[in-house]
Amino acid sequence: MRRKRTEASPSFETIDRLVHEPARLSIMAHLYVLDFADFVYLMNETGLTRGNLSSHMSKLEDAGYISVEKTFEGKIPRTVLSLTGSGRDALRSYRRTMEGVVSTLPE
Amino acid sequence: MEMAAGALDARTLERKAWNRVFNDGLWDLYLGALFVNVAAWTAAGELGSAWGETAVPAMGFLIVFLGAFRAAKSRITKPRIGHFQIERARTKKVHLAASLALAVTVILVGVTFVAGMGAFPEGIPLVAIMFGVTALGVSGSFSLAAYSLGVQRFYVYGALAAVGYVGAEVLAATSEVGRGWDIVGVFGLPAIVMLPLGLLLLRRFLQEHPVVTDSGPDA
Repeated sequence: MRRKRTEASPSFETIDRLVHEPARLSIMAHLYVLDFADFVYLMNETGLTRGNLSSHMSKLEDAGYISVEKTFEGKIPRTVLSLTGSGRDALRSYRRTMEGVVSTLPE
Repeated sequence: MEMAAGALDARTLERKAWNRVFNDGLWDLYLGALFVNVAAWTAAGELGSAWGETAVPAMGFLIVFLGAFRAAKSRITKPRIGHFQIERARTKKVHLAASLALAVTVILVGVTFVAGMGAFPEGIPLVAIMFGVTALGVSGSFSLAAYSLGVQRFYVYGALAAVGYVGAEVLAATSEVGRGWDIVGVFGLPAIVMLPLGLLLLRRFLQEHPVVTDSGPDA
């Protein structure tokens, strides 16, 4: 019984560090309410530079949390990002974990 | 690294996205132009023009306005703020509001038809009721949109549509003008505010959002 409670209780180790980083959390949260967004939109909304956004985008893509599609609209390149199913699950799970972790912190 | 501050809850981000849809002023200009078109068409009828004569240019303007609106969205807005699509599940309420507005219109058409058949007893100010329902539909649609999308100025447009109707009804009761002016009031009064406000919003949007020349991450 005691072991079960220990397993269920949140701990810092269970925090998904990939989602926890503020820039990536912001990218995922913005994509959560959208079907898709392009690179320009996310740069505007998150305030990240092109290089930073590109770097975080690659990490999230490697983890399978977002999908990235590169297309051309005429001669203009367009990079379209969307949150995958596992990305959505990861964000929900992160929220639950953080709620649990925060509740254990001293006031 | 400087990140944009702000809440990251779904409701806030959704409203933020909706505001991005409307903060370029193009919707105000488009709706304002449509409303002016309806008001001008109705006013021309009230002033003696045959409805059939003015219907063709009025319909033509609808197509021109839609084309201009779509082109402006594509050439002005997207290169500046990027391209995005709000999650379909979240757009359902907007579709619901649009369906309600359509249902009201369909009911109005039905009422007009029945009135034309002479099925209503005389003495009932049917036209006034019909135009009142129109005003309610316009006002209600704007208010619903303002509430669900968080675009506060739509409340003002809704209120102006109601005021336009009431003003025209007062005119009809106190002078010789016909009740067609109800429609001029319902659509014309909000348009008087929509068009200059749309221009102001567009000007601010252009100042605040320079064109981003390349959307790719590898530029």
